[in-house]
Amino acid sequence: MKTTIINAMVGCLLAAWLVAPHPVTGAEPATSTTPKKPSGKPDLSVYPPEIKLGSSRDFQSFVAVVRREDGITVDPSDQVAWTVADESKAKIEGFTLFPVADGETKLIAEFGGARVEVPVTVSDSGNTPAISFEKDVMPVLTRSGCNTGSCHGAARGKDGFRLSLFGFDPAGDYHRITREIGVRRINLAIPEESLFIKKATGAVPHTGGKLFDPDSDYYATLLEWLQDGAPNDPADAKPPAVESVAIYPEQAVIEGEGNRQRFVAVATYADGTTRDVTRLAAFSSNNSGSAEIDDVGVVTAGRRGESFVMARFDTHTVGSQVLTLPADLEYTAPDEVQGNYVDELVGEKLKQLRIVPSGLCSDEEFLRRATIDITGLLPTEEQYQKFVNDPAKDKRAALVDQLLEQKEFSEIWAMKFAQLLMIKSTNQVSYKSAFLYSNWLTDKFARNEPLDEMVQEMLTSTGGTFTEPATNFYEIERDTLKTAENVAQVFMGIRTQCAQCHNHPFDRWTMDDYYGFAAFFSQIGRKNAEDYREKIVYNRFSGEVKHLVTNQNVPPKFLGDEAPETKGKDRREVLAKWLTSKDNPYFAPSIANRVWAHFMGVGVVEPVDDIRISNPPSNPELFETLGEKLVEYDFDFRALVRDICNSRAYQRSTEANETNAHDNRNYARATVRRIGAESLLDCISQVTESPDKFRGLPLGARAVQIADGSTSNYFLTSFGRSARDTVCECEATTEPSLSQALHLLNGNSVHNKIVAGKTIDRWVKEEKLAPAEVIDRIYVRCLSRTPTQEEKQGLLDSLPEEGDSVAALQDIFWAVLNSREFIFNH
Amino acid sequence: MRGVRLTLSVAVCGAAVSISTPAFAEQSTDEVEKVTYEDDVKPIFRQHCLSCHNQGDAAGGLALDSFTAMMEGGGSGEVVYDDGDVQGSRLWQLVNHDDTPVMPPNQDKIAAEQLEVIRSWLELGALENSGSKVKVEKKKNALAMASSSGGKPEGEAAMPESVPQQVPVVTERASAVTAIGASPWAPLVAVAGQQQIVLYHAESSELLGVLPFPEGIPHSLRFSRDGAYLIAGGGEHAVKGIVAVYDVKTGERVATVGDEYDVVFGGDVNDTMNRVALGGPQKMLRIFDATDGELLFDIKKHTDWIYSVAYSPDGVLVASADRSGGLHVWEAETGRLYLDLTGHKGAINSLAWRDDSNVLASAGDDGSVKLWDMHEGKLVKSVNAHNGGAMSVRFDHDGRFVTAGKDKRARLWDPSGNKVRDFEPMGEAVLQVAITHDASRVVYGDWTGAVLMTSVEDPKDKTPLAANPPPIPVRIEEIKTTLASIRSDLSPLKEELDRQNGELAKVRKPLTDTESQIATLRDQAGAAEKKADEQAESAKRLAAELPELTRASRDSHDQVIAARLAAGDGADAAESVAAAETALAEQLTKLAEQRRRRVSLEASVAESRKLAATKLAEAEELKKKLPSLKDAVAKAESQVAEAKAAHDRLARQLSDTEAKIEKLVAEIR
Repeated sequence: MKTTIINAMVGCLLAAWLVAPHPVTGAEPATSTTPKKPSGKPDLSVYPPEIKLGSSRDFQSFVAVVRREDGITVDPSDQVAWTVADESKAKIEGFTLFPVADGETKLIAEFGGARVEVPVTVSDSGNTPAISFEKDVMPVLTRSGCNTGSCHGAARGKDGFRLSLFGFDPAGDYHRITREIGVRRINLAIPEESLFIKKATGAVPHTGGKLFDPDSDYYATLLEWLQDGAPNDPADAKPPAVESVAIYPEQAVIEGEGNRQRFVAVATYADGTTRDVTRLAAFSSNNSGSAEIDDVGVVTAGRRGESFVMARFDTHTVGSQVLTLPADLEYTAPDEVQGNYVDELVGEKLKQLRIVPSGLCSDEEFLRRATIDITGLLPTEEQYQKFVNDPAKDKRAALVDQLLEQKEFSEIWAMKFAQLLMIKSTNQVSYKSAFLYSNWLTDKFARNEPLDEMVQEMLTSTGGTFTEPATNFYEIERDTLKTAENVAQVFMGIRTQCAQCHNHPFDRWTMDDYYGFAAFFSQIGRKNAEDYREKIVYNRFSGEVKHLVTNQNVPPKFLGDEAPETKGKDRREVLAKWLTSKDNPYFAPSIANRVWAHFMGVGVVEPVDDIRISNPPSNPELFETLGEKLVEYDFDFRALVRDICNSRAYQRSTEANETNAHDNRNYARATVRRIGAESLLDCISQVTESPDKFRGLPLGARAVQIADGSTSNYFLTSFGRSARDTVCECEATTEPSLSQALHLLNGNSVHNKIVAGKTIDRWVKEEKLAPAEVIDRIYVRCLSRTPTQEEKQGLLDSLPEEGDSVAALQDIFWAVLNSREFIFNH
Repeated sequence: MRGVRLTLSVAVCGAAVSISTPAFAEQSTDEVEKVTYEDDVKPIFRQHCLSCHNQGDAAGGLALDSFTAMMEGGGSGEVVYDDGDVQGSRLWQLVNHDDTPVMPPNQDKIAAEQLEVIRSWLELGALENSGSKVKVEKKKNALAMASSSGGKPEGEAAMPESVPQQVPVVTERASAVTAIGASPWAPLVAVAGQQQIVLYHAESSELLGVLPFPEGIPHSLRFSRDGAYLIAGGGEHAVKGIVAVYDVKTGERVATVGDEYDVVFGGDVNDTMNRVALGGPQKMLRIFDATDGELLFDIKKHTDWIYSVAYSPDGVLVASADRSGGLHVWEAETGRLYLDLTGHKGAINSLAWRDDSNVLASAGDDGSVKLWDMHEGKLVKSVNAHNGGAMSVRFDHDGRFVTAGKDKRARLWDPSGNKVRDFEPMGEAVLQVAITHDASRVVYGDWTGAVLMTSVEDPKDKTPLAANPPPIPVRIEEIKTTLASIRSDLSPLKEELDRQNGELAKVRKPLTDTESQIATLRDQAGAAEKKADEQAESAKRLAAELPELTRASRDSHDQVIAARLAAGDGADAAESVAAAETALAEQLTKLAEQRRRRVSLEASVAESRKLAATKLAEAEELKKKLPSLKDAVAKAESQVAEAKAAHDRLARQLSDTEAKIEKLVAEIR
């Protein structure tokens, strides 16, 4: 199976490239050995799949992609023989098709025996529509970056001129360009003298510099519009809205630094027309070191890696995945992928990336890793002995099953959700409310109630904050807009905050979407209950949300979905039903992704609560499948956890190999993670056998069980416990800090607990264990392994020859607890 | 400098007087019925205001439920003055809906009679209760215009005489109007265009000349105080800004001041033409020595683009306004800040001074036009002039002012800020406005570049003025068409004149005939009379001779007798007797002839007299016909005169037009 990447090339392709040396890949075919497979036609694709030309102005650029057998794609556009079936209908210039006369024809691409036909429809070729402000002028401004936040799109504008950020307010922009200051920006007497275009071409000093040439199509568009008298689009004939945008090809796997792939962006309007927006979309790459995209959609490969190139046009952002591989990569494909569906999907991606996954971790590592991840505790010595000595083949799966049954599992998730729901006592929310709310949540998880039902109950809750603790959801955050933002972020992983003031610049969300979604929460009523600490939340069947720009009421509308009929209904019920529906494309995947991230250290989408087009999943198929599985399991995420923990992807070693050392998003090796604040404290208390006391909880309760988020201690705070101030996942951090190190070294958490727990005392004085045995037990307890011979010898050497060894052994205990191996999950 | 000191000291003295001399209180009249806070005003406040403006809530920091608190004012300063100033009272401005936010909010004005109570209470010194005394003599209305010293030039005010007619840039359409100016003393209007300033006659709307402005677009046009110079501020956006001064008569550019890196939005010169102040997007107010271009003051105070700069007519102060509502008044000579006028809630687009330099007007995007008193340094009147934004304001010599705004209209206001007239709306926001020297016409232009000159008396009488005049050849062609039309208009006039002359001749003939007839008759009568007189004379002479003849005949008779007696019958004797008798006979015959002649003469005298009388009577008869004939002639004559005047007028126009063509032709050569 071992072969080089070059060997994988298809024979006929090779032959074609020998005739015309391939300028794009730069791969040297001469170095290749005999083609493995006999000839076949190259896998040629042409984009866009359909071309519609709707006016004399219209044109459409196209691109060809050949996918080699090994998955590498190349751009053969300039070797393809391009023809038009009926040249009286359309003509080709470069890689662009222009209309000639109305009718239908085909764009034909022929390459190495392969032939692809793209249907072409030409209509209205005799019609040259006037330049429209919204359809033509605004895209040029957005494309040129005029309305970005650092330029005129800033809230107060720039250098005295303001545009709406990314053009969310075309009417306002029209006013400011044409009317705000008489003749300053546009000069209709001499359109060429308009500052509006003189600044853009750098003809006069411009802080933003030169944005395009006077001979560019952008300039021509703006100038023609000015020559026409800078008209606004008539209110009764607004141009059609952009329905969707596509970027082609959907995926590219580029081999060799410096090689290129052209991309084409096509917008589809509400009236069914399409438009080549390759020169109007704003392109960007989320990893430009790996794949740089220029302003006309040409991607140039950089260093090895994975990136996502995006095109933003109107309010739409779309992206394609680009994988970049070195040209002369030696790659040994692993054996057939083993394991469950997770491994299949992860393995597929790794193959594409030519990454070899690390091997499986040891039983000891697995035991510690799974126990911490699932229960937030360390395996006990008994568990350790039992597991290590268990000869059963499926003992790992058995361990997972057993751990999932423990109540600690549900407590971890109750805590995680308590963090997201910001459960804590504040001036508004009494301690009693917070406590009841937390208990309600913990109870739900303990009874393994499906998440969809729990969320539904919470979102539609009505009643007193004491009697119906779920109503606290609406008490902790009382602002309508923020409530809507929180629901989107917590339950769908979508951050809509941007769209409060302007259309989301890197996602599809518009202000209409934002206020439409917020409208679901506009009718929540609150009143005082008898107990002054209690509030009653109810639906008052009235109240609206106003749009920031239009100042009009916005009817409720699901995010990215329809506007439902809510008359006479509790809007929250309508929303909750939609949100938790099995068909909801956001709910299940985002929850599944949170679960995945908890176990794998990094989400398929990361951060887990920032799912957007411009932050795509590293493995889209995996992302979707996890969501589908969660739905399949009726939102019982124990089952999902079981799948994850039983996967080889989870059970990999943290040891990197040459191919996966640079990668941390594709699960080719296990991620080393610091244990979270609460669990770390619980672990320390567990191994030192010295219980903690927290407010409202009995002695010995664990930090994970803390109900009220305002309860904390120095240890928890400095180790990055969630302050529960926002719904952001990032509230809980595992960032290292000096205070953490100093606290472990000198603070009371470690040393005092060792002394207070009297474990060493007991072992030495009561159980009369030899120092070597004590050291073994410390290691097993803390690190789930026995010390190596060297470690053991070194430690034994450090013990005093005579006298009481307790203090020395306590020091060893202390040293182990201060080791990185202890505070990390690996 | 002297002027500033004077102004300031007057202001200070005024304030001192109002505070420290109770003597005034003694003088004030106590007879007027008192309107007091406690008795009259507070009940109104209670009804409309106190639910927000009480000392507990004090919305906007203002409480009206206590006299002291009320006099202290609110967050934006004092709202009531005890000096009788109604218009300056913020409270009044808001309750009278002169300014925003109108009070009570989102409601109609409070009842007119209640408003009247508040007004008279303020007017009478805002007394607290019946025991209070009026503090000062009723102040003169700040909007009362002090007599203006004018600035009117001696002799004829400047009009273009030899201003070039060449159009530097020809454009198909005009851009949004950037500036309009009107000469303060002559029928002359200046309209800004592309690299040019177009001068029009304010009465005939004739294009009098084009001042080239190669730097770009003029954004500010102001005439010097005597109207002899035109000051244009402008330039190329984002590149260069200057202020240029033109001689109105010759069109020559006499000075170019400033070198900004962006356009100049506002520029002006002082009264003596030795200072130029300008400002623009660079936010700096710069004052130059106009004679040598030296930068005297570089004032950094504005936080946003300066939109307007204006010197007071007396040259003592200079005001500058910006895009964020900043309005500052400076001592012109020292560059020191004199007043900081806050009140506009958005960009201030235009500034104008009243002739007496006591009042400054500002027009802003908040829709208001505000009048500021320079002595007190406070807002005296705020007019909600234009919904959506007031763009321009200018005063006439009487303190009335014209405004233009985004509601597509221009308006005329009286000196107190009451609307006098709405002019008909234009197609887009009206950006600039000016009023002619005699306040007979208003010139305004909108975003589309259309400029209208409209009669103040009859707003329907509108003449368009082009900010983008066509080039000379086109204008010559146009004028030639005019010429042709004048010519074609002239020929029927000529025909009419001829026809009327014919008519006149026709009606004149019977008159002259009759008159000559009368004359003839008179002559005849005269001749007859004369003849009669002569005959009478002859008769008289004959009569006079008769006695002599009689005596002679008697003598002869005697001699006959004597001869008879003497001679008896002798022959000789007989002969002598016969001789004597012959002599006697001769004498008697002669006498008889004479007698007969006399009789016949007398008869012919009578005849002649009768003839004369007949002729005269005939003449009298004819004379009766004369008046009607004369009337007809007079009528015909006046018609001729009329036709002639019409003809001559057009003919003069013709020759003028021909002269103009010649001038234009000469210019392109």
